[in-house]
Amino acid sequence: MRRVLALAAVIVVAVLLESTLLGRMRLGGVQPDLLVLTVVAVAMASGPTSGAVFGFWAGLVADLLFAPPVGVSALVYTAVGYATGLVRVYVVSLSAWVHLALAGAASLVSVWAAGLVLRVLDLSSWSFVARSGPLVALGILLLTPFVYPVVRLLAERVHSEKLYRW
Amino acid sequence: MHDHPRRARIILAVLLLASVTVITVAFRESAGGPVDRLQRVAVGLFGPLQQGVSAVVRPVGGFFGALTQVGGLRGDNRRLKAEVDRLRAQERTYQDLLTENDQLRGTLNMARRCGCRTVGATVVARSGSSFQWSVTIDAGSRQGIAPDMAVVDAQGLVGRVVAVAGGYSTVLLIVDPGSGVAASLARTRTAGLLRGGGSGPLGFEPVQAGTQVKVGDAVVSQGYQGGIFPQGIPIGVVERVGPTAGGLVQTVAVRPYADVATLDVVAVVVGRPPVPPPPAGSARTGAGGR
Repeated sequence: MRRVLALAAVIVVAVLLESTLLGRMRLGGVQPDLLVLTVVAVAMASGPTSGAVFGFWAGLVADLLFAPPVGVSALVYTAVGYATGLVRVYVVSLSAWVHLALAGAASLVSVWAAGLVLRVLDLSSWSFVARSGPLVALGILLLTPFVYPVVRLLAERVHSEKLYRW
Repeated sequence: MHDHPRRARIILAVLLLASVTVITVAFRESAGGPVDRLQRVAVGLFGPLQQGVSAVVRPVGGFFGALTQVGGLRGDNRRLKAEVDRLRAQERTYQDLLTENDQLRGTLNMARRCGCRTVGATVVARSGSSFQWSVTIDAGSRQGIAPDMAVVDAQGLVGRVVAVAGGYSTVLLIVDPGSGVAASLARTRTAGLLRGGGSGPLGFEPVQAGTQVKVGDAVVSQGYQGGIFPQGIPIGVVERVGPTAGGLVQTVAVRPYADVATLDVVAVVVGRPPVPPPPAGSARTGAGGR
């Protein structure tokens, strides 16, 4: 229970910061995706299942607040959380650079995946999707040193409980 | 944690399926559907929080720049600088108030132009995604806001209300790729659909093929029959007229008057007053489409 509350708080805080502070910082039409960073951090700390569950809820909350199309972020974050959780088995390095690269790569993939879904739904253009990926990843790299360790530490601390009942 | 691969895969499949279901339901449902209701709950819950955080974050953002300048200087020098920065910040607040006053006046003028009844609101949050252009405003059903109402600022139309909670609503901006607004050219009265282009210009699609469109033509909103979407609200100006795509529809790029990136004060058009006074329930009809 403690764990669910802690991770729910992470989602709430991330969504609030994303829509207020970061919402004012659009560069070239895109803004850094704080939520994907929290998804990566949780997945790295707790594995693919927790990563996917956390990703789903984080994406759903963001989708409901940030207007249509609802469900796209949930879909993408679920996949990113799961994939990152799988990758963590192979990440044995404690180097901050490795984790930085991982966060950057995950955000790049998530932006492109979301863009692809939106392009299919005719809600975005190829050029914007292509351009936004690297820009968002760059923003993420700047945010990672501040956000990633905090969320990961929190997720590891409350690791003992499960995020889901099965 | 015991992450059995099989169990993890099942959970992944369930969640992915749930996401796809949500996308499908959200696309097909009309107002009042399950996703729409969830949206309203979310906006109602997060609205007050976003308003609070916005109020805190604004001065913090201003100070952040100032603080980085101060760093690296000696102690007393630092104190003096901080004092100056504090005063500057105060002055900025004063400037902010002046600007806000101007914006309010401008927004009021815009509403007057169409003779519309409006409700003023402040932007408390912006979309948190690079692919969505929306804002949360601090006015909701308690102020008489309903879905599909037009939102204007001092420059012109900025968007349409999509989700309404008690004291807050979400506004889909005209630049969002999912936004479609009925519009017409002021000069020729040619009707068409104005679609958002994200960070690029808006795209105007004339209803009739072979329409004459010139660079510099003003684009205004088109009223819906029976709806409350106001007519004649300025939206933007034709920036470029492209070749006819696929031999059918011209590609017309429109630059919006309103700068949606710096939106602060807006007005929601809650009624078209003149004659006859609309019945109370008419606000929800008309204005469809995403």
